[in-house]
Amino acid sequence: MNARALAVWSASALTITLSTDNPVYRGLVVIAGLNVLVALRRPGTRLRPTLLALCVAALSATALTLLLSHTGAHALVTLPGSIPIVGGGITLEALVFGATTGLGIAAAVVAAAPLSLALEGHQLVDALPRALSRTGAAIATAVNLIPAVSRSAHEIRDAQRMRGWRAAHVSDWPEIAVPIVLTAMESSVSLAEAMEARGYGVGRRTHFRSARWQMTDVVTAVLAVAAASTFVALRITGLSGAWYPFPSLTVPPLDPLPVVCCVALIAPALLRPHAALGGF
Amino acid sequence: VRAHVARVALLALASLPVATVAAGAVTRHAPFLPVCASAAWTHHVALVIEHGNGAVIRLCIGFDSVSISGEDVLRASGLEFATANFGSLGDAVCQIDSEPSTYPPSCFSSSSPYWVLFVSRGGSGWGAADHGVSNEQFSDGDAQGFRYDPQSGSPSPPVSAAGTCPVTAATNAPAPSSTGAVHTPTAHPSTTQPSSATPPAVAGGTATASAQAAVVSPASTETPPDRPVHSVASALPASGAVNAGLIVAIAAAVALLGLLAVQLIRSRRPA
Repeated sequence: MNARALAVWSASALTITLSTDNPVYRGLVVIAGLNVLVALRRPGTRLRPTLLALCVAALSATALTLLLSHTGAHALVTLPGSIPIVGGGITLEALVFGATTGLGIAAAVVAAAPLSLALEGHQLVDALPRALSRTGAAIATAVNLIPAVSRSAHEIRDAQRMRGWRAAHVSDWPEIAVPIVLTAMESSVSLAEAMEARGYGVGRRTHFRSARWQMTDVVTAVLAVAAASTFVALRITGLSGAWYPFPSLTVPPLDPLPVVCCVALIAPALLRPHAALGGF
Repeated sequence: VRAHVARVALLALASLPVATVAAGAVTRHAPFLPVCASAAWTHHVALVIEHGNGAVIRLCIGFDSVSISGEDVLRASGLEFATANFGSLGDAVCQIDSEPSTYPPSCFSSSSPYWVLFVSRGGSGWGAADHGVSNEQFSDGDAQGFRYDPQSGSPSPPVSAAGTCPVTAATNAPAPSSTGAVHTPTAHPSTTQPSSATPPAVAGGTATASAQAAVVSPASTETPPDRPVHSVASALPASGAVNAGLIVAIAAAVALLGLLAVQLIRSRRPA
């Protein structure tokens, strides 16, 4: 799928997620996003690590809100006030609000995940606007040094151990830190020379294969933008109002049109149903 | 590179601004006749509450102590209200007379309408409060004002408190009134008590000396002391009538989940 079309979809899904406090709408974005993830993920890509991290983040948000927010009319249990910070009423409203916050985190992650799980890194860099292409390439290269430094640290530590060295105190760490810095600098110089040898910065970046917009990409982008625009317009005009569970829990208001906007986000999955193969 | 570039892209996308605020128009109501012209209490504080739709509630709260806190004034009014604690600044008012119907745990957001507290000392004009409602102290002749502000521009004060309380002594009947025909408070102070009356129930705290001097009997819907907030909203969830939105949402969720299941089953099949 065209990287820019998928970026438009991600931006639209994020816009819908961030512009509502309604857990139902956020839940629909999560399910639609999961459909897109499963349909568009690269072959062999596993979703389990992403979903596990997502669940941990959502549950953490729920637990934190439950323990720290003591507002709400329906106290499930009351912790002694002598306990700092968490002491007080643990309320049903805080539980619901925490779950809503967790759903928001989940929806935001699911909205952005296709950029990582469905696209290659070079596709994302290629999708950047021309004005940002060099900046994007530089940032990507710089960020790529982090795992390289980590690998280098492991190798150096193992090499030092083979010589019988063991870090017992903080004062011993320079034995590893100095070689790491030297190795990183050497790698950076090598990388710079390699990029220069390939003509980096001389002229416009060339592409082995230029990404073209197919009809499905256009439909995906147009539907996503229309859905997000309509949703935000409904929010601004008050037709899709804000919802909070405080002070007393109420059923969130629901309208058909915002629901349709959330469901429209599934378009990429329907337009590319054959793309996915891989473990869960 | 792919994973890290994706993280950079995620950060960029997450910063998309989304404007979601709708501001409502506020209409003003003219001052009206004194409501407690014969009050029998030693001191009086005027309470003026201006709702978002322009409806105004004026109450004259009597008390016998030297001063009374703003929260006790509200409590004595018998109106439903909810507060959130902001530490040394005192309590902020999140809800009065069920407006707004819901609010975030932080009481108000950076863009939503909220209750602004104003004070008037000795008949002077409205001024911004220096503290939260629990820390503001009022003496005879002062006034406490609340206005539900749409948070667009600088907050303007509520209508004048002039005429809400008698200049000289008076009644034993603090009477709630509303100048807006569209508004009816959810709770009214309806009975009067002598100055030695039992203090109203204080939600989530202990009755203070000022509260003991409050003149209005507790409303029948006052929050029990063990409630975490002062709200007297209904303990039951609002009745969510089955509407088209709910039906469409359920159908959409079922369809999306079904499609997800089909895709997962297909993806597990060998190619």
